[in-house]
Amino acid sequence: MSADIRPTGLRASWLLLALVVLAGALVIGVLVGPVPLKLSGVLRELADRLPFVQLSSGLSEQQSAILWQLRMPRVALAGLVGGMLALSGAAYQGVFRNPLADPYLLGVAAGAGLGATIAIAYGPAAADWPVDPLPLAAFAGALLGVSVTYALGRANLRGRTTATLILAGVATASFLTAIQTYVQQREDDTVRQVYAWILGQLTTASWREVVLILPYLIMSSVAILVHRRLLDMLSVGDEEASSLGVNTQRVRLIIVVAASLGTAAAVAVSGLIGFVGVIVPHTVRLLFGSSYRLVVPLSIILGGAFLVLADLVGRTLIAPAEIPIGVITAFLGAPFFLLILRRSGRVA
Amino acid sequence: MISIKLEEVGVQYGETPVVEGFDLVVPGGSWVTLIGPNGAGKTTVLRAIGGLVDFEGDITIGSVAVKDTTRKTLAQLVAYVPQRPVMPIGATVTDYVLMGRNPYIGYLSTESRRDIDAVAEVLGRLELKEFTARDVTSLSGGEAQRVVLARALAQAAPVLLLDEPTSELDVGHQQQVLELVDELRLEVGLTVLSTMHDLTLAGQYAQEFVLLENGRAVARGNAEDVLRVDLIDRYYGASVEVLANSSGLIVVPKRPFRQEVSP
Repeated sequence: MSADIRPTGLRASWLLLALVVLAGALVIGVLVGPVPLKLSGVLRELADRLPFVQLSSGLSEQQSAILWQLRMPRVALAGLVGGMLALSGAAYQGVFRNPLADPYLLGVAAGAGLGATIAIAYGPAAADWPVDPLPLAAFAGALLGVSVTYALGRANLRGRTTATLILAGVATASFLTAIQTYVQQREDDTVRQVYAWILGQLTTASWREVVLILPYLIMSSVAILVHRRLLDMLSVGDEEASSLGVNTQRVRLIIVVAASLGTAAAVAVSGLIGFVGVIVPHTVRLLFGSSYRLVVPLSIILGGAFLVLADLVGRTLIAPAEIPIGVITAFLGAPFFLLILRRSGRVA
Repeated sequence: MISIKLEEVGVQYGETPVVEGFDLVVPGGSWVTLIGPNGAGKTTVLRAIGGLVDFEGDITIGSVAVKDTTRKTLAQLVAYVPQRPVMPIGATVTDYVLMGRNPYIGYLSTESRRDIDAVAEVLGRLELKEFTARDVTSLSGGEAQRVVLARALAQAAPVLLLDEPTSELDVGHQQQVLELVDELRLEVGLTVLSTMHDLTLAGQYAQEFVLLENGRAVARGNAEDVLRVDLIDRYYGASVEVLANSSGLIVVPKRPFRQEVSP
């Protein structure tokens, strides 16, 4: 009797398609650059690293170094950061029931920017520290931003949540950005360095950054993935979700903390890369559907692919110079943002 | 059959008291309707019973105190149909009705065969089978109301709270929905508490009425005790005639008497 009743979910074919897109993006990202690498060479080089396999890849020592120390960590980092930012965007949109919610709307990015600016302007030289203080400071700042937003939002809510929290986020972001700009302008010998960081960059990507953020990204992704059904439950609003047995405050808190931790980790190593959290989840919704059962996993995968390709464009368009990746994503994201604004305006 | 009991219940929104010193007993398997002018606190009473608003006093569902129970347990006992349900974009009718099974699904797990079967049964009973794959935002008012009711029934809760279940419906669908609720009440022993603006519809279905004004009960009892011309005039400021038929009372608005003004 119930054979014809099936809830919306992630179809295997969609998952496969997304993985193929990601694999394609990763391969192109590794192969294309000022020194082109051959696919066969890269594959043999990879196989050579497997245990018990001895293969001559045919790559020169220089090519091998470019592959392992430049291309691969950079592509890996772009993939991880892109997946995380897209996932955070989707999670915030679900939790706040706002199609424009994004890691950048909630003070996360502004907090990270402030933390990084302070580290660059006042911190001791990175060499004096056992670890680079920049990502750590950004990380602390990002957490500060979310916490302030959450505290402000909660203090002013009284039953209602969505709009207050986002307004609080906008206020927090403006305030933190103001302080950040002040610090940046006062310390004018570091202005260029700060700008480079603010615009977003994967130029200095190394395996160290990949290893640094990986545990955060895994924790964050798993936490959000297991809540995907409850993210759908939140779509009927707090009151109805509560009446259906969902502890909305707890679910919201867990997802916000998970998404913010992941975002902070991503921002800490890659600078401020905007709009990924808007572009990717909405593209997934347009192509596949709006249930979080599919939006969450597909956003992670396609977010990774998107940022790898955006980075590729950034580093090849005016090579040997690079366009900061934040510029590329903003260039694509801003029109997209307006499109969503128009669409959601029509629905409302 | 599960009864609802409210003792000295008070609710405040900020500093403003919305419901004060409210007592109510809804016997298991009966249908009680709250009536009263806009802002009298009818919806707030329902929200308090559903644990959706903080309240003073005691509310018990069967033997469970609303204050001391978890959301999940409460959702297994009480299903709430709001006046203006949110229709999520992109959810199918199946997805939407399946939400009603949430109280039976583990926190981080997904629905089981049993949940799907329960949804299938409810969809069949409400004649919604042909709509299963439809987007809920594309439904007409009458279809949407049935889908919302289906979600509430999928909750398999013994208590059903209905907030203005007919306000968005034409007269045919109004009857359909209320007949369906009454059938279920008789069949499965649902305990029903509803709010209603339409006093005639209220008079046809409920066994007991409570008239609220400014958060307090000002009259209660059966139809003859509450649906009275003088009470409706005093609390609604409306001029009506009350007629009777075999299933209850019929409240008909009529133009108030007016002095002819000579030109």
